[in-house]
Amino acid sequence: MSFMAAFTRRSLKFRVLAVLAGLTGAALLLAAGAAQRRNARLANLTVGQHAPAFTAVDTRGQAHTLAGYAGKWVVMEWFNHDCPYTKKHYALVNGVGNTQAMQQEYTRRGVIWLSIVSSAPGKQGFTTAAEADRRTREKGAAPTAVIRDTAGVLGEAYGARNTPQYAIIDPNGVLRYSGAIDDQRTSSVKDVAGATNYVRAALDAALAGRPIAVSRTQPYGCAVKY
Amino acid sequence: MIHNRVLVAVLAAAMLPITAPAQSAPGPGSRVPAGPGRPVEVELQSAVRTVAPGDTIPVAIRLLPNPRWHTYWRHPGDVGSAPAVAWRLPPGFTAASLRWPMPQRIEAPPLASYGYAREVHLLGAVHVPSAARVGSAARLEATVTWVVCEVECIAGDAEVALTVPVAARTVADPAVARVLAAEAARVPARRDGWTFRAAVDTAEVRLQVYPPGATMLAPGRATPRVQFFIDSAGVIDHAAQPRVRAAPASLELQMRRSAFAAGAPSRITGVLAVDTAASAGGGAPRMLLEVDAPVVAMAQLAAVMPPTPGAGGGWFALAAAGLLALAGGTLLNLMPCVLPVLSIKALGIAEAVAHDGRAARRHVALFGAGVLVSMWALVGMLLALRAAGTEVGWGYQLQNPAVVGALALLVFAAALNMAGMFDLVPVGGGLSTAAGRAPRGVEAFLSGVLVTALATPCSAPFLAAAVAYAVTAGAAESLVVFTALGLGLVWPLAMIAAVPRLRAWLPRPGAWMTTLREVLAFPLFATVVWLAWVLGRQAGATAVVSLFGACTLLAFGLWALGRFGTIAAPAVRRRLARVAALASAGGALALVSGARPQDALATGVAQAGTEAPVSTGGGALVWRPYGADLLEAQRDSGRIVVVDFTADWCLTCKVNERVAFGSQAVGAAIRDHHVALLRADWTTRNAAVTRALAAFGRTSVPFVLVYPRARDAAPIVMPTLLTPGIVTAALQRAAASPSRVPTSAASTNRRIVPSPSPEPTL
Repeated sequence: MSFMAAFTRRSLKFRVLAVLAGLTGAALLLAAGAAQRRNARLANLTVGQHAPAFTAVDTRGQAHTLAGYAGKWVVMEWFNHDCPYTKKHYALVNGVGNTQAMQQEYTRRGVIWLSIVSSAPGKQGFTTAAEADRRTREKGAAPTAVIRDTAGVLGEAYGARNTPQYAIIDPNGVLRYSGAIDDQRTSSVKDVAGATNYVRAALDAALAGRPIAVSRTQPYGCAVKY
Repeated sequence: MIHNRVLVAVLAAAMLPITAPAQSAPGPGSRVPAGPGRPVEVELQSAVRTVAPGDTIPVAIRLLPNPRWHTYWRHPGDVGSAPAVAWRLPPGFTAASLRWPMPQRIEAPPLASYGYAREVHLLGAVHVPSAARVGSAARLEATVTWVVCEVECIAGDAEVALTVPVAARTVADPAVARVLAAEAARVPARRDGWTFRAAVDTAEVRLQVYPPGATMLAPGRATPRVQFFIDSAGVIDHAAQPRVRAAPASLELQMRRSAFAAGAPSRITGVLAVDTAASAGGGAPRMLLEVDAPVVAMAQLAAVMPPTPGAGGGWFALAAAGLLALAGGTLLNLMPCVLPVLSIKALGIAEAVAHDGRAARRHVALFGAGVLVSMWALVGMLLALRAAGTEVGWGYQLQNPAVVGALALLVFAAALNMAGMFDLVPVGGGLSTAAGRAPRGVEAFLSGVLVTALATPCSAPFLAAAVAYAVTAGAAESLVVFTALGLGLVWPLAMIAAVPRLRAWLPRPGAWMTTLREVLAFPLFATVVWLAWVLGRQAGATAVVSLFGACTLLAFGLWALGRFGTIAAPAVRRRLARVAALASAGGALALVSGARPQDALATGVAQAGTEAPVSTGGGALVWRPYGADLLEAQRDSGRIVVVDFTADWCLTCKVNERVAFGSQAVGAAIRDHHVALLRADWTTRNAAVTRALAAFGRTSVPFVLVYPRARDAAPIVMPTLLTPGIVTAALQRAAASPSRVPTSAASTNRRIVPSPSPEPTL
């Protein structure tokens, strides 16, 4: 480009540059405007990314942070006592409840299991801490802790849409599973037996050091009552 | 016959335990009213009073939810479940699967579901075996399971049954038949002539709808009323309203991809309601269609669908792209492959105008026409290729080694011309420096074509965005953008011809111009070397040797033309020289046209495992071949990842790689931050790379992405031209970007209690 400059006089060069600069500026403004319009989309929580950090207080006043569980697998289960789909997975069939059995088995194997109710005050599933504990006992549920996310902050940060819905986080804080409990998108207890349980499959693979085959499914059930 | 009957009975008996868990005979009635804990009335209906053997009983499951409650369609969307019907029928009787009337969208942001906030009849049919005995009673029993929601959901089930006497004749129940017929009109159907296509990428799902007649869609409306209900989970975000783009004879729905999408579906199925010309007039109802669309490559959709103004950015986007193309075309003038030819041309024109203004202006006009026509030819080829489903982008022609070879020959000939070996066809000047001879129109036109050909490998700043828009938009938009590009390339020259004051600024013509022209031949020779290198990368050493052979042959022909083909020479000798030149040019082209891509490069991905790591000239940086899996794996391991979309024929890419990534500072930053380097090579056609580019709305290189360390952060899109400073700054940002951290759930209270709403919510 230097030889071009050698053959042009200063004034031409400056004028051409001024015109180019003007065009460039206009184009950049337009491009920036276009880019702005395109990017007006919510970022979604995706598997393989770091799960959002949180601090949450459970029904017994104990604080839980994701960072505090570094080194452990963490299961986050969204539930709502009165939702038929939650009921389906807590119903006792021959004395055994689907979710309770999972909680017992995996907490025994060192997994942290947080059952979260994101129902807002006055909405279905909202309870006092004492009542939440009572119902947990009655159901024979065995999570590490029950968290009342009454402001919905945790639910929104994790994109919780349905009850039940699950997130599984690895010891490094990376989200490894997000979605439904299983592939039978019904409210019928009889569909539990024959279902492919994604959460079980993911945890079994994770604890055996194998990759998780199905890491993302569309959850089903009731809407979370934010 | 008897054999058949036995078989059917055995089959039915075998199925009984599955569908019927031992129900007592006197059993239920046909209707179960709503009651406490059951906000829905359920009824089994028959449209016939009696049925003949071998005939079919039209039946329906009628669901009437309480006000504000709703039931669900065959796919519920985000919430709820479809009602299920388990039949228990007499031996030999069979039930057809249910037909579902068109559902309605039930919105409850951020979720949406598909269902019926009304009385609905799920239509069924029970086939009566011809062996059924006249005078017997056919008892139809069913267990209906449902979920019904208002804000809260309640699951329920009920036993319903009815008895239809088997008689000699089938007698309709007119009242029920009328209701069921009305409902049947609301059941979508497959219809002849309607075709559908869909495409899926990481961000969206597009569905294109082609009615059988071009005039079938409602006229006079930019976007006819369209509703699509998908019948599978994990494909689209149900809550996001689709964007509808309408062309005269087709429709396109753009739907946001589900956050829970895993893998691309092979078909998109569901139901569609659309206004047609007939329904817009008020008479006919909307067309209700079952949709079964094969999923094709996104590029195959974009080619046929002109965008609607206002939908995809419309005039604003088009104007922006046009301006970008104009600026990019202007900057192309300064690219090393174009500048020598154009600067000589500018000086030649300035001089010629002094001799004969009209002729010179005509020359510039023809040159401009040459540029524009070749731009349009490029657009045409691009669109044709896209329509054929080939994934291509800007510079695609250089992915073909034969084209690279031919271009090298062309540049070589131009260089020889400028070096003074022959000047019958003065490429740069186009105008005689001595005699003031009128320029030949064909030459002017061809030099325009040449300049376009020389310009294509260069992706100037702004060009990428404009061309990306053009090739994904419709044909008309492509034409506008490429025309703007051509005009950008031409206007500086046109200004010189048109504005006398500009010429006054240019240096006076003189003998020095001949020297300059000869000197400027050398950038062109360098361009030949570069193209030979590209060819070597694409098609191997043999192809390069062929190219050199072709150059020698061409040089001989052109020498003969220059030596014996001048006007001063006798006519016979002149003719012979021309024949020799043509023959050598033909031979040279034949030599390079045989070049084929080498397998390793042609298949792109195959190269990943086998080829040694690519390294830049600047140091010991190790680039690994790009693969989507590798990218994910590197990101999983918490590394910053740089992805360089590049091609050997892309000069800007090579400059970026040498200047930016070759620098000490960037090398140090890359080592400090432990950055993973991936190179997506587009030198030869590579569908995986084209798709990866398309995911970012690009169709050209250079394109460089920096993925931050934080797994949930979006990649940083780098500018077209890179400096060491830009790259190190981006790497700093990538290393620093934090992950999102929501505040404590316990300490925050930002909930707004919504007022009670009469609409159904979930």
